[in-house]
Amino acid sequence: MQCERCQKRLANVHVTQYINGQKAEKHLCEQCAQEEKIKIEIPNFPIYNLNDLLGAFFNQPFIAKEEVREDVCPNCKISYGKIVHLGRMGCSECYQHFSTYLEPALRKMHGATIHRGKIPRRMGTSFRINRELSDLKHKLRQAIEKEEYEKAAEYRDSIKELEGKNKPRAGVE
Amino acid sequence: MIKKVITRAQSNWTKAEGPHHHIVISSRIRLARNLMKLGMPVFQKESDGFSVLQKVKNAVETISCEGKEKLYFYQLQEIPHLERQILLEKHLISPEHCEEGVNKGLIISEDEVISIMINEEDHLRMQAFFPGLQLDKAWELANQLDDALENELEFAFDSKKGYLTACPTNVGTGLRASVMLHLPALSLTKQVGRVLSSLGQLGFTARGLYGEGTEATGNLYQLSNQITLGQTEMDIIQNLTTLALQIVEKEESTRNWLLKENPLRIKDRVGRAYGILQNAAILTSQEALNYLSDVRMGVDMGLLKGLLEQDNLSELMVLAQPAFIQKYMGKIMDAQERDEVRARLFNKKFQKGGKYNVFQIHTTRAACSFFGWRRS
Repeated sequence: MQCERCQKRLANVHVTQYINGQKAEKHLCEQCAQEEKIKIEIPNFPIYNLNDLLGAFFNQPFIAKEEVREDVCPNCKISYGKIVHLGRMGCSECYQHFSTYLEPALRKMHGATIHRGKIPRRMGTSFRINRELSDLKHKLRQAIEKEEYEKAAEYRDSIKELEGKNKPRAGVE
Repeated sequence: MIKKVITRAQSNWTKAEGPHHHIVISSRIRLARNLMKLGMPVFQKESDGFSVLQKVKNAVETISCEGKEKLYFYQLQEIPHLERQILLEKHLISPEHCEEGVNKGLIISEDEVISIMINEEDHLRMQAFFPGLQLDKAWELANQLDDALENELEFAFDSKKGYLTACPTNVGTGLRASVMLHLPALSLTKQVGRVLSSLGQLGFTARGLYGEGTEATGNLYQLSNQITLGQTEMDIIQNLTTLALQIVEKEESTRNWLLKENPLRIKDRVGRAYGILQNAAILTSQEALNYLSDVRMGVDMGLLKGLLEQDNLSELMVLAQPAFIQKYMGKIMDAQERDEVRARLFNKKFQKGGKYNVFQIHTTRAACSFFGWRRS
C-alpha cells in the first residue's frame, strides 16, 4: 500500500481514529507519520473501569430494591446506590450504617468478616484482652481438633489467666 | 528536598541490596488509613479534603520533631506535572495520585524509603520501600510510622471490620504487601503464566510494573496480597515471603537449566541485548526495559563479568522512563525525540560498562553535560 500523503513510499504506519464515533483510517509511510507528529504509543488504560468490576461485588439481589439504593449514610449523606456505583465508601460511618448489606460482599472478597490484625492503641486494654481471648479460644479449638492436648492445656491456662484479668476491668472501660 | 528526588534515578529500592535482590528487586508495604467521619476522597467535599491535608501535615510535623528520619510535606499542586510523573516512575506515588487534583499531598523522607500519599483513594496511604526481599523490615518501619501517626490522628477503626478504607477490598489491615520480581527465565520458558495463575487461589495476585491495569514489561511482575480481612499482618507478610522464595527458587533452577541445556542461546541473547543497548539509535522505554531484563539476567549468570555491575541496573530502569529522560535533558520532548535521546544515553552507559553509580541530573547544564558525560 502506498502512503496516502506523499504517494511515493510504502505505507507502514496505519492509524485508526474514532472521532465522535466516526472511524477514520490513515495509511502513511514512516517519514510522513513523523512529519504529522503521530505518536506511536499505547493509550493509557482507563483505570476507573475497574470500579465496574468491583461494583459487582456489592451487587447483591437486594440492591434492586429502591429503599436500599436510596438508603443514605447519616454522616456523609451518600446513598448506597452511589457507593455500589463507584465501588467506594463515602466515609468511615458508612461501614456501620450499611453493615448488613456489606457483610456478604466482604465475605465474598476476603472469605472472612472479622479483622484479626493490628489494633490501634486507643482501643483500650479491655478490647485488647477480649481479642487475645478470642484468638486463644480459636487456637484451643484447633489444638483439640488436632489432638495436641499438651498445647491445649497451655492455651486453657492462658485463657483462665486472661479471663481473671479482664473481669475487674470490664466495668471500668 | 523534592528536587533531589526528581533529579536522581537512584532510590532506596534501586540499590542492589537485601536478600535475593538478584530476583526480588524490591519489597513494599503500604498501609491505608482514614480519618474518622471525614468524607473519603472519592466523595469528598473540598473542605473535608483540606481538613485532612492540614491534619496529616500537622501530625507529620509533630512526629518529625521527635527525632528519626525527617519527613517532608508537599502539596501535589506545587509539583509540576512532569515531576509528578517522575515520582510515579520511581513508584513513590500511584498513577491516580499523579493526576491533577486539589488537596492531594505527598510526604516523603529524603532517602525515599517512606512516602505517604494524602487524599489518594484513602486519606492516607503510607508506604515503606526496600530493595531485595525485606517485607518484614518494611512492615516494621511502616508499623512504627503508623504507631507514631496514631498518637496524633484518629484513624477510623471498627472492632469487627478493622481499619476502615475507601474500598472494601482493603478493609481490615489496610495492608498491601508487594514484591517486584524479575523472572526472565520463567518467562522465556513460558512457565510464568502457570506459576502466577496459581496465586489467585492463595489470596495473592500478580500485576505489571506500575500496578493495576499495567502490563508486565521487562519480565517484571508485582506480587501482592488481595485479602486484607481475617488475617494478621504477619500472616500476610510471611505468606508472601514464602511464596516469593518459592518463585525465586523456581526462577533460579530454570536459569541453571537454561545455562546447562543451551548455554550458547543464552549467551547470544544476553550479548545481543547488550549490543543493542550499546548501539541502537532509537530506543523506546519498553524496548529498553526488555533488553535491560536480558542484560540483568546475564549479569546474574556471570555472563557479563567486568562489563557491567549489578548496582545500577535498577537505576537504568528509572532512567529509561519518559518523564525522567525529559527532566534529564531539561526539556519537553515527543516520543520520537525521547527514543533517540534514550538510545544515546544507553549507548554512553554501555560503552563505559555502565559503571556510573549515581545518575544525577544537572538541569541547567543537562544538554551539554550529556555529551561530555563527566562523572560526578
